[in-house]
This record gives sequence, structure tokens and C-alpha cells, in this order.
Amino acid sequence: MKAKDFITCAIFSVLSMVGMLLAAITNMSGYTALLYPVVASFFIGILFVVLINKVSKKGAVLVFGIVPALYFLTTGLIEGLIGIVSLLVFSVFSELILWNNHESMKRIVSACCVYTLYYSTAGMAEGFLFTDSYCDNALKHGINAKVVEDMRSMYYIKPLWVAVILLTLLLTFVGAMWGRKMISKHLKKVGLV
Amino acid sequence: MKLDIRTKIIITLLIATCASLNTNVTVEIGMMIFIGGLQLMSGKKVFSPVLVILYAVFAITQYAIFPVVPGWVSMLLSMFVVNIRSFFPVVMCIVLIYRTTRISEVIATFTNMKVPRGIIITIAIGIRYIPALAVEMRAIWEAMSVRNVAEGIKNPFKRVAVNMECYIVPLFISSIKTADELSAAAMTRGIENPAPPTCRSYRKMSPGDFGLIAVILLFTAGNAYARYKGVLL
Repeated sequence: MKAKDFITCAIFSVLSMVGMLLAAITNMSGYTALLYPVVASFFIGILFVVLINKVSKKGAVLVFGIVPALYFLTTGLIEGLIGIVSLLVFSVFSELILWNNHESMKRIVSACCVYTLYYSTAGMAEGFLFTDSYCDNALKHGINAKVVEDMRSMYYIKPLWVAVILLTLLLTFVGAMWGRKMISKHLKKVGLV
Repeated sequence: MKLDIRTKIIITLLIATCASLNTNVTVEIGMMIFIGGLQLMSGKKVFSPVLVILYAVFAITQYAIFPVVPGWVSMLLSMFVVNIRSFFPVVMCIVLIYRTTRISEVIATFTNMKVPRGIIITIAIGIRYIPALAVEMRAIWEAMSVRNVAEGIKNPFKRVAVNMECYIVPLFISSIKTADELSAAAMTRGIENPAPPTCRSYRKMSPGDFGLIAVILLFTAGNAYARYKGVLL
């Protein structure tokens, strides 16, 4: 990758962080917090497809994850490091899927789905796997007891996690398709991709 | 007071850790006063009174208003208020970094630390691009608000899709153009020069930096211990 590619990836990385912040609106209520990975993956899906079409080189996905990784660190050192390592693992898998073929739309969409899987698997693991400690922590921080109890009963329903993962994959696919449509409808016409 | 960029990053990480561990509002207020003090010592324009006022509003809402309003109001807003309030110390640290650090300083320090070039470029561009992005988004918002692009579309999903497209496409075009411009500017300044770069902006960490890190490290350790033992609940 050349300096120009790094700069393009960096800018898309910042945009993905903006997408994550927009999706964080869902975290404002205990009932909609489960939708965070779904909404975030939609925005990331669009960005991912446009980025890979613009920078068709190895390493683009890894650089794309740098700014979100730094954003994870603001949640605390331990949580942040776990987030960074998990994101790195999913980014590496995504890179492996793309490998030398950055032209195939199937590969791009598959790589994108793997990349956004982080949000619905590792990102939601604390809530679904350590439900009690997660909800007790929320209670100690001062969140309304009724909301916490509702969250607890919601996180106890493990098939809900599967539903979130499937919904995330679906929305990533929709985002990726929308990104593809935007490339052919607008970006190719102005000669930017 | 001039802190090293590494000190500021370490302080932010430790404060973020404290913010996630801590459940006591007195400790949180202590953190806010401490970071506010650091901001004031770093320069007049660094301190952000708006953030402090907003923090006070959120804290008052949680501890004085929620206990007296009907339960459903607290149910609806508590997660929003708590999440935002507990994130304020971290935001104060980010403001401190943002208002006291030059990009050249970041590049020089990270280059000296032998951080890979790709990561340095990404971080530098990230810091530089965020304010430009905010300006760009505001301009797109203003331009689109005077054009009712989804007028006449009755399907609500299509309406949302059309509206989103009208915001996202100009943002993409402007971002890609900015990337090209920044690349051209960086290349003319020799970013691809294979020779090792000279670092005029690099400065070593002073004993004050180490002292400050030690104090906050102790505070974080105390916080973790208190949390583990259930002292500050």
C-alpha cells in the first residue's frame, strides 16, 4: 500500500467511526441496545464496499479498522484491548477472504459480513455470556432498576443472540448492496472509483 | 504546563478504565476536577466550561430529578443520561489531547517510537480530518435541508432511502476528493521518501510526565481494588 491508499483508508476509517457513533443512538435505551450491531453494520457495509473498490490492495481492511479500534480504547483499557484483538482477528479473516481478488463482489460482501460479525459476536458477548455481571454493573452505574431487570431477562434469551447475528449479516448485505448501487449510480459517473 | 503526547494518551486510557470501573459519583466528580485542572494548566483555551456545565446538568438530572419524576421518565431516560454522564471524563481527556497537540508532534513522537508508518498516517489523518468532516457534514445538511428531495414519495422506506442517499453520496464524494488532496499534499512534502525522517517536534518525557502517570496509575489501581473489594459501592 502507498501513502495515498493509507490516507484513503484512514478517511474511511474515520467515516466508519462516525457510522458507529450514529448507531450508538440505539444504546441510549436498554431495549434498543441489541440493535447497535445491526445499525452499525449497515453503515459499515456501505463504507466497506466503496473502500475496497477504491483501494483494491492487501491490508486495506486492517487499516480501515484502526480508528474504530482507537475508539474502543475510550471504553476502558481492558475492554478496549479485548475489542481491538477481536476486531483484529475478524479483520484478518476478512483480509484472507479478499486475499488477491478485490474485484469479486461475492468475496467483498463475504469479507464485509465477516468484518461486521465482530459487532454482533464479540461486541455482544459480555451481555449474553456474562449477563448477571453485565446487568449488575449497569445497576451499580445508576441505570433504572426496572430497565436493568428487563435487560437481564432479554439477555437470558440466548436465541436472541443468534437473531442479532443473523440480522447483522442481513443488514451488512443490504448496506453492501447499497454501497455497490451507489458506486455504479454516482461514484463511477464522477470518476472517483 | 506542557505534557507529552504519550502522557496524554496514557492519562486518557487510565481515565477511561477508571470511568468504566467506577460507580461512585464523588470519585467521578474528582476525576472531572482533576482533568479540568489539567486543562486549565495547559492553557486558557483548552478548558471547556460547556462540557463541565453539561456534566453538571446530567449529574443533577440523574441524582436530583430522576428520584422525584414519575418512574416511566426515569425508565426512558436513565440509560441515556448514565451512559453520557459516565463518558464525560474521557471526553474531557480527548478535548485536552485535541486542543494541545499538533499533528507534527504526533508524527514525530510515533516515528521515534518506531510505530508502523501506516498507523501513524491513519492516526494523523484521523485527527486532522475530524474537524473537516464536521464542517463538511454541516454544509451538506444545510444544502439538503433547503431541497426537499423526497417530496412526493409516499413509501416511508423509500423516503428514508432517498434522504440517506442524498446525504451519504455528497459525503463520499467530498471524502474521496479530500483523500486525493491530502495525498497530493503529503507526497509533495515527501511522505513516501524512504529516508528516515528527522523529528524536530520530538521531545522526551519529563519527570513531571512520569509523576503524573504514576499518580493516575495509583488512582486507577485504587479504583480497581475498591471495585474488586466492593468498597466504593
